[in-house]
Amino acid sequence: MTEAILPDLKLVGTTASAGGRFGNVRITGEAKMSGGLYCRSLKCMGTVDLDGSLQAALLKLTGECHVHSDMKVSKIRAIGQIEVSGNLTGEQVKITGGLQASGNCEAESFQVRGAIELDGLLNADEVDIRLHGYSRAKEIGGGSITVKRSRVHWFNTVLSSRRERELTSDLIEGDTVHLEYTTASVVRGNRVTIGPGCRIGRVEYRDDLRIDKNASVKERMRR
Amino acid sequence: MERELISKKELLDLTGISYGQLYRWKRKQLIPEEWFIRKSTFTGQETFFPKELILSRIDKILNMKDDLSLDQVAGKLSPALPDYEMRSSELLKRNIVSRTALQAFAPNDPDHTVYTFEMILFFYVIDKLLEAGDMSLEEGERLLETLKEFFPKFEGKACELVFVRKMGVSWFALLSMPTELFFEKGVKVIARLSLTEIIEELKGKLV
Repeated sequence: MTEAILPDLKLVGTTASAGGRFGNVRITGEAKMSGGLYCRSLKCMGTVDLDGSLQAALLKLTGECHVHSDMKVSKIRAIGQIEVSGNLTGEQVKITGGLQASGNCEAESFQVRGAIELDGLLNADEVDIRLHGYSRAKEIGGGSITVKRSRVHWFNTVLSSRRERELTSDLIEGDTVHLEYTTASVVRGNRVTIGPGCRIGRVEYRDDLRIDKNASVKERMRR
Repeated sequence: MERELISKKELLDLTGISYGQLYRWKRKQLIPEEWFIRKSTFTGQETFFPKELILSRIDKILNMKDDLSLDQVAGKLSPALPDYEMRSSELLKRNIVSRTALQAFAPNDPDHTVYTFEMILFFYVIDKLLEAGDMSLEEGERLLETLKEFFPKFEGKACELVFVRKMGVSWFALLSMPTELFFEKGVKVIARLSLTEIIEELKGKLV
């Protein structure tokens, strides 16, 4: 990538653009892009709607971001909502708010305070989810996986989620797994902690298993 | 030829690697997506791998990762063809392609002809089969034509070469992996080579 010669782009107000290749992109207000965007950084306050894929080194978002294809962003810092109709690939993902993706989600570190709705697999070295709303993911896999219910209550009203602050998943697999308020068919790991509010079909563990008295586990297996 | 599968659980036990490592390698594309085979078992969904492939791959990664970063390892393992060229004299000197093969299939090229990685790969495959005594020179020529015509169509996707013979008549086929293939009675499968693996092998020799 010849970064030096890529022009910057600034959009203020209600704007429309065709997308393209840029250096730093700054959006204030509402922007609609009829094509994909390839840039060094995308900083958005407001709403951005991309009719294509997004590729960037950095995404800083306060507001909403819709991507109607794949999204490949190394570093994501977002407050608000991100919707991806494809795969999300990143390295450091930190979202306060909601994430929706129809594909798989891959990152080195994945931190969400809020809710996630993923149709595919969530795969990250470090998964840290603080539940503020109803969340689901088909599968979660990685090194260390932590799912906790957030203690901050006011935030919940901001997200206006009436549904329970819980996570549902088919399979959760990691080296260290710590779960709270999670429903899953199978949980596998070396060190597994099943916290309060969990309903787990089967836990397979190697070294250590702790189960809270307010959790239900149908079957446990050491291997 | 049914491929033997290994479940994820068994794999981790056998190799001693962790979930985290396995997933990280998948993310870095050290382990191709198509090796993750999902199957239903009595306990629900489980992920399986082609046993031979995954075990040798993990062995390779574990050996390489001490000296190289994961990204460098990924470059070595990826099925994409590197931009690598070599003179025919160098190929002979380093024993990558035999003189017989070069003389038979490229008799008119002078000694200092520079071959692309793709051509080197073709020669290497043919040489391998010739050396094993599986294939005649004449068949080698047909194989070269087949590879030249169809291999580029795979565009870096995993590719397998099948060489079969029945009643003395032989033919070649290129398949995208992973595929199950069944033959009628009397067909003798002479060779089934994963070109992806050969590319890796060759990369190891060239670099």
